[in-house]
Amino acid sequence: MDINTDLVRFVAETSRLKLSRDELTKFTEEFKQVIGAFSDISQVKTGGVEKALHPVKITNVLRKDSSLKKNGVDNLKLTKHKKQDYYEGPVL
Amino acid sequence: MKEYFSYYKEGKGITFSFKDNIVVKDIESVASSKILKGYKPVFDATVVTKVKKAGYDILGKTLQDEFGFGSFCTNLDTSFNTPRNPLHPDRVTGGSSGGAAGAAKKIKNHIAIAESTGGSIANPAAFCNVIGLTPTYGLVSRYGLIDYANSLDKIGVISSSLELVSLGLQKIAGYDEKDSTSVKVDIPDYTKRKVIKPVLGIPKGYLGIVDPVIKKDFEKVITSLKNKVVFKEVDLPLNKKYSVSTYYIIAMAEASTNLAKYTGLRYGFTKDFEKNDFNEFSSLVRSECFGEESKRRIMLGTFTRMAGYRDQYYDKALRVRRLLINEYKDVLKKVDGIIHPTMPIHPPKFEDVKDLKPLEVYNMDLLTVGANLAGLPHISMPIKASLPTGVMITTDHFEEKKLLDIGGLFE
Repeated sequence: MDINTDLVRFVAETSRLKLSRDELTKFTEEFKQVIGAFSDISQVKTGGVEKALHPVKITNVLRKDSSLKKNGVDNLKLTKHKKQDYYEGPVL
Repeated sequence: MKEYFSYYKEGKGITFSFKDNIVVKDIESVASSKILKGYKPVFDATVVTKVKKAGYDILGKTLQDEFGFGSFCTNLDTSFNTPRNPLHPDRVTGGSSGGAAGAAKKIKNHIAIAESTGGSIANPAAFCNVIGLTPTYGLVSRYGLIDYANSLDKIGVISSSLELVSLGLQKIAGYDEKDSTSVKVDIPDYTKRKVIKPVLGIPKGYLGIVDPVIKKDFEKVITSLKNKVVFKEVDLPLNKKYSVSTYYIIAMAEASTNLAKYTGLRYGFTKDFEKNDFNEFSSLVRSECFGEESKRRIMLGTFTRMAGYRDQYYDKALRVRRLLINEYKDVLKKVDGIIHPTMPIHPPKFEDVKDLKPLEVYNMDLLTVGANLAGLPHISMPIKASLPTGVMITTDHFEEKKLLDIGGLFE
């Protein structure tokens, strides 16, 4: 696989990270080494093997489908970016 | 002792502390990251609620690598001190729960509640000569934990004696409806010890990858316990070869999604809006605040989940993980536990870790990531040696009581 600065820049933009030129060079080199090493898992035969999303069996737990009281906690107090009862942010 | 804390106050009797990624109401909880600066949670994590209800004094929040991303507790925001090894101040504490391990060593009658994703309890416990217990995934509620990787994170205990470790686990274990991955199981009395003669498996080839001095010290312990333990060779070939790659692919993929919520808008570090553009704003905040290792893991995790690469890396790693779990479970049908050194090296000096390449650091986790990937309970017990060293014992899911009984043979 060709790991180059264009690919790493694209990954950074997707991750909402701005990289300096030095960072881009450094991370590209490291990507080559790390992804190269991680690629060893391609040697393992996994045909018909189920994915392990969790290490132990997890069962969905659903609460009764009814409205709950507001928890009384004012999360908005944690930010200065608010207007009345809403968060205020730049345009998406 | 304060050097191990991001927030500290005095306490009496048996005291507790919480790793900085476990939220405590009204106490700044930032997981050693600049991006959460100023975040004072409006609620307590379930483990905090339980300890508070039991009436223990809480000393504070312990230092860690940013979001748990590190093996030496040297990846902290620059506003924090880097904790030093309590026994050898020129060496690291280990990570990521380095503050917890340092505090457990330095403070009498102290129970440090820590967290492990790939070895963040066992590693610093071994490096600081204390006991570190990582429970089965799902035994302890993660509600209120600042996530690193949801399918791997486990809250556990570090302390100086088995008695305190057992007490700590007793206080925090149990089902919690607020955590969808919490598992309903009966909680036994972990504080009562039973004398047993266990069969412990030493994985083939594992001693060949550790420092020769550690190998020698480990073999001395094995010889000294020949009358109390039956040792036999076992084989974990897939784990030996693929656990590091599998672990890091899954952990980074999950980390990259977990950290996507930090945009500088709702809590923590923020700025004024220079342009009316959300992506521009969040990119500026994230680039300024995340440390180098966080950026690296976010990007690698994003890459392994991207269209075109997802099948080859993330999905493939989840399937390999199934095989790695099965391999452990098969071996644990034949033995009571698996034993090997906790870390392949002694705690390194600060000057020796700063130039290590990321892959070199990741490979040092080889002995701890397998049990963490499989969600298996494990304990690191300190052993007599010239430099801090531990042995790690792993048992089957929800066998914490047996694990503590085995640990008693090594205390």
